[in-house]
Amino acid sequence: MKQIFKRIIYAAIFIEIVFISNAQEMHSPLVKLTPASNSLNYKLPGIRYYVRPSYMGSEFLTEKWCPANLVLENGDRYDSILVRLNSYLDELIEYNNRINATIMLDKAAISGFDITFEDGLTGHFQKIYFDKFPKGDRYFSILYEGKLKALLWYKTIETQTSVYVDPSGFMHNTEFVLTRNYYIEFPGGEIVKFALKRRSFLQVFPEHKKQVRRLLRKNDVLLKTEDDISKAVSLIEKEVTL
Amino acid sequence: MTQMKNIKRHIFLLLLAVSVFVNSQAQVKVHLFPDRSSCVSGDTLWFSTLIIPDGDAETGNVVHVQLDNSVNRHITNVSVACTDNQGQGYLLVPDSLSTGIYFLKAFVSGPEKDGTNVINQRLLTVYNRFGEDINSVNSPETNSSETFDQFNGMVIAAPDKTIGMRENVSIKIKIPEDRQSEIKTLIVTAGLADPFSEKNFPVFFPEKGTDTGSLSIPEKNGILLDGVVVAPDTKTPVSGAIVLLSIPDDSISYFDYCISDSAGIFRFYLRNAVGTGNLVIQARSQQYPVCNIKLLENYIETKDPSGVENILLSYDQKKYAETVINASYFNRLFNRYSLPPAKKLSVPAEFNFPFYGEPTATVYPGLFIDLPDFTEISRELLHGVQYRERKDGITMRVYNYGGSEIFTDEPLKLLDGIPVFDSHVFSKMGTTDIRKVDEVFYERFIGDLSFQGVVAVYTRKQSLSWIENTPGISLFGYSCLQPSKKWNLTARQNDKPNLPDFRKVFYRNRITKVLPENEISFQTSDLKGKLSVQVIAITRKNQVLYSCKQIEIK
Repeated sequence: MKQIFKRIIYAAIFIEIVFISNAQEMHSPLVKLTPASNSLNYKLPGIRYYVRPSYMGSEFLTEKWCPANLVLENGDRYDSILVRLNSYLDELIEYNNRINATIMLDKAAISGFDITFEDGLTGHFQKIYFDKFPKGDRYFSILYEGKLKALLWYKTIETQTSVYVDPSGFMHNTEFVLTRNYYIEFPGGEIVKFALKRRSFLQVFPEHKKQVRRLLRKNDVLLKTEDDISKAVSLIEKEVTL
Repeated sequence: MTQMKNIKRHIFLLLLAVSVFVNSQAQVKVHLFPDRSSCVSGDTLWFSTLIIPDGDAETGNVVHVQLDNSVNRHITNVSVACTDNQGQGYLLVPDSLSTGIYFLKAFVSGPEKDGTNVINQRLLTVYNRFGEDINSVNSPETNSSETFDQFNGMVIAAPDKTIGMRENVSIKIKIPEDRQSEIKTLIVTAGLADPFSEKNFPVFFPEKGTDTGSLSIPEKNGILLDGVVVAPDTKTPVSGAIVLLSIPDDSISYFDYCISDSAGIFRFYLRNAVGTGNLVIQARSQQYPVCNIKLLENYIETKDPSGVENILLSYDQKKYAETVINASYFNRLFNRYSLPPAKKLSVPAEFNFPFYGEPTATVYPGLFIDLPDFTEISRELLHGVQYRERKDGITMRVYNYGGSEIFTDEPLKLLDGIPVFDSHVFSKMGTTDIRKVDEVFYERFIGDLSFQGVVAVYTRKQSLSWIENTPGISLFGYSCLQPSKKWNLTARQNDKPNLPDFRKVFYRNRITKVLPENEISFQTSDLKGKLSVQVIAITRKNQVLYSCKQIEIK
């Protein structure tokens, strides 16, 4: 009797598989689309995101899905969608809870986004074309925005480490490490990199080095935190004629 | 005594509350200024529109203008986009209209509830161009009418009391200097006065309207398109159907989808869609693989007139009607009938890539040896596409770069940007037919829709003829926003001096740089009668004022 019951279940599963495959489907047959999927905006384009092997560290900027307000290149807005920034690929991953899918959104369609991190702090990201190596569009976190822009690019890199076994039992010798890269964008669009040190920051303004140094000293800006960068750029914008 | 005072106070407060409530119900007003109060069927009527917004409430900038007959039967409509709340457009008055008085109605979409839109209707007298012995005109009995305020102090100065036919006329419109700064726009029209309908120039007929389509969202430089999905057999609404809209284009085709609601209704917003063209719509649901589509048109319904009155024409009125009908006949004889050139429907691409994103690979079969059919093309050129023609049907699968395997389901197949569900369409296509093939080897998401890869075939000569033989795909001719066009009424008068000139409107212009003295000049036509110079002044506070003057043409 058990055998017959098993066979019926297997047959049912087989029939279901045959039924749900082959045809040209426009959504997962397990999820029924409702008018909640409708929007008068340009529909968010993307491709299926596949989870990568679980190296030590994380390839994401945040551990959890965070709510974000997204602005597309044509000005359309999507509010309160769940995203994680994959800082390894520099791509925005959306969790679409209506269809239960993780989607890597087309960078070409996105202009920027405001994200609320797990700790309640917010971040404003903009897609900016970076014309140095590697060339291409990058999601920069905007630390300060005026005539000058202070930018932060989160980049996760894969580095060599001693051999370890991941929770799935696979051995690896690489891990993900999140790096922070700081840039100043000048009004003409030129983007210059600097490190979070006063000396490196002064190199960004070679023709106004003395003036900038005096200004930072006068205002006690030590350039040890990201707030210092915002403060420094704001002061330079006001006091220095570039 | 104190009780009396209390009652008075209560009444006062009640009146105050009522007044506040009435003011809070202020709405968007739309005014329409046609260039003529009468026309012959087949004429082109030009109009200007003015949107008076309701305070800070969000208002669309698209005005729908519709022509209804005296019993509110819809005849035609156009949609124009306004800039700074003012717009202009034209309406082709159908050739077949019978003689009578018609309603011109203008409205914008907005969040008003049904029945609270006030439509400021204008009347248009139409003379059928084949009409003979017109003795009377059917006129709807309207309940109430309002008139624009007269512009006191405006002077319309003509050099002479009478002017001749084909005479160059120069007219000065003088505005008191203290009022010049308050005038934003002048709409000036000079034309032949119709003794029957001229009185309607400053008059409009407010009437409450109820929308029939999707008027609940403000339209900004776009058109809302509504429709219903119905079952092919029972004709009942189908809910949860996936409705796909495609607008083929030479460069990047437009694509959108919508899921029908419980009443089977779907809605698309065609942003910046200008012109007239074909919409390809198809709907599929789990219950019905092929559904029928019915589009809902954006008309506004107003209360039917209480009756239709037959008005007898006087001698002068009858003579005018005969003159313009004959003029229309001879005008066609000499100048031929030419419609304003229709603009092909175009929806500007907002992104530099098609809706399915950047293709993984693009193949141009023309760069290779000629191949006779799609089987050969897929086998030789489309690496990663598995196309099989068997007795029991055609299957297509593509490689999945993301999962490093072949997808189990069919990809999204597109022919010139239109989704295709029957691969037989491709089977006979060879190198001579196909311009390029875009391939996407990822599971592709477009909103909440997902496709296991994309194969997009673009033909050398785009044609929609294949749709006729494909069940489940509907093709609709649809007019979106009217392309902006300038009045060109004076251009024709000088180029053919030996031909008769039967223009009824000689001048039409919207003056935005208003001076204390504004001069207009034009040439009259070969038609005798009275020249009517009509001026509509729109103030910066959106008040509409009018002034007019009549001069004899001998």
